[in-house]
Amino acid sequence: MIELRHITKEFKHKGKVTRALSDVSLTIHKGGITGVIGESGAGKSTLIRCVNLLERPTAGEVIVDGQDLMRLPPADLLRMRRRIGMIFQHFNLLASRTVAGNVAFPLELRRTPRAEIRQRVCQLLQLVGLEDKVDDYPAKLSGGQKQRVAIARALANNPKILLCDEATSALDPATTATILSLLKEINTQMNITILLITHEMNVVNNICTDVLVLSKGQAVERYTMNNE
Amino acid sequence: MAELLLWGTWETLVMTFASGFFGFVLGLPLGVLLFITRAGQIMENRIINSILSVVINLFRAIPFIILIVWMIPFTRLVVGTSIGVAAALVPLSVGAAPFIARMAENSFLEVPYGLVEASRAMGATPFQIVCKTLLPEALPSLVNSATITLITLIGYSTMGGAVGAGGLGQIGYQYGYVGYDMVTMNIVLALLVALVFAVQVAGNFIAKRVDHR
Repeated sequence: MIELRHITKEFKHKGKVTRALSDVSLTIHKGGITGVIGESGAGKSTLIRCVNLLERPTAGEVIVDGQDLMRLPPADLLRMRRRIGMIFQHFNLLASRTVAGNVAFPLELRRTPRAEIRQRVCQLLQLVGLEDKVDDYPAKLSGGQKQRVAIARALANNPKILLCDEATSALDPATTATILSLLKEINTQMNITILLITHEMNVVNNICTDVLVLSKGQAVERYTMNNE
Repeated sequence: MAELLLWGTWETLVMTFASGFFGFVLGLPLGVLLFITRAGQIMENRIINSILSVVINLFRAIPFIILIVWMIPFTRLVVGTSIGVAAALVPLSVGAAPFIARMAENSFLEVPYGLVEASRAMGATPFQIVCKTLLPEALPSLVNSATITLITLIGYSTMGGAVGAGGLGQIGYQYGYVGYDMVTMNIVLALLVALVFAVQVAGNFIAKRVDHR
């Protein structure tokens, strides 16, 4: 479903080149939950950003659904991104929009009719259990609630893939557990493939089916969980 | 006398708000362009950014009172005259625009980068990022910038009064500086202070209303 082939990413800063990823390959199987774990600075964030080309790899190939994203023209890349949901450590909700407005955002981007947006937003907020917060602003929500809004937003375009960038790292253990079970639910019931990166071992143990260990920009170990 | 002061206040208000409006029409797009072409932003472009930055700095370096005189040929071309309120609007707007551009750039810098990144991840075009993410998220800060700009423009417009722009500045200059009429001069000052306070209070109120952070 997603294939990262020999990804190398270098950053140039003030004439100095630092290598964030060197020759990392990863295959993400349809329907699974793949976890990438590593200490901070290992290149996890860079790796997950290569999947939707928020970061363009210096070398390598990014294949999503059989298409090489690096070769796509800009308009097609945007269309592709709309089919890949993403959530973040710090939620990244728009403070100027209500909960409903945030969930509506990706739908507005592709000019969905208003009535359809309203219906879809309602449905999504029900799914994440926040139907009573429709008109609240994110500033009034707890961390866990914010991440639920972000999940609803990421699912708005019916993606087949969900990228989770340290999605539970800013949350307490109890909230982490509820968000993880929500992700698991999304994975099994909606058949959405998940790629998550984390530095927390218990996240991996909890929900992942495949694991890649990243250290200093290199893939050092990969294994399949058999806890089910 | 009261009538004159009332008229002067009206002219000052017109000059301030009209040039504020035109200043934003010119300055806000410049501010957007200045921001999005910065290193690491959505339309990174060193050349455009440097040129824009230099031009803005040039205009900001010209003292306003000199800008008015320097721009007279252009002002005549645009409005047909170099004296009066309409003529004052030209240098006021042009003087305010680069100031507004820099203020807007700063407002955009306050928007967390994660929001731009999330918008990109959702497949937003650069234009959509500007309209749907940057501008709404920077709005409270932009309102504060507008307040500061308007207050600066009140000051600028009175400076213009010394060279024929009309408004409270001209009255203060003629009766105060030339005629040494202390009473009129102080009334003009009191009116200007009241204007500044009114703009600040209104600005704070609006900024608070649009801020949901």
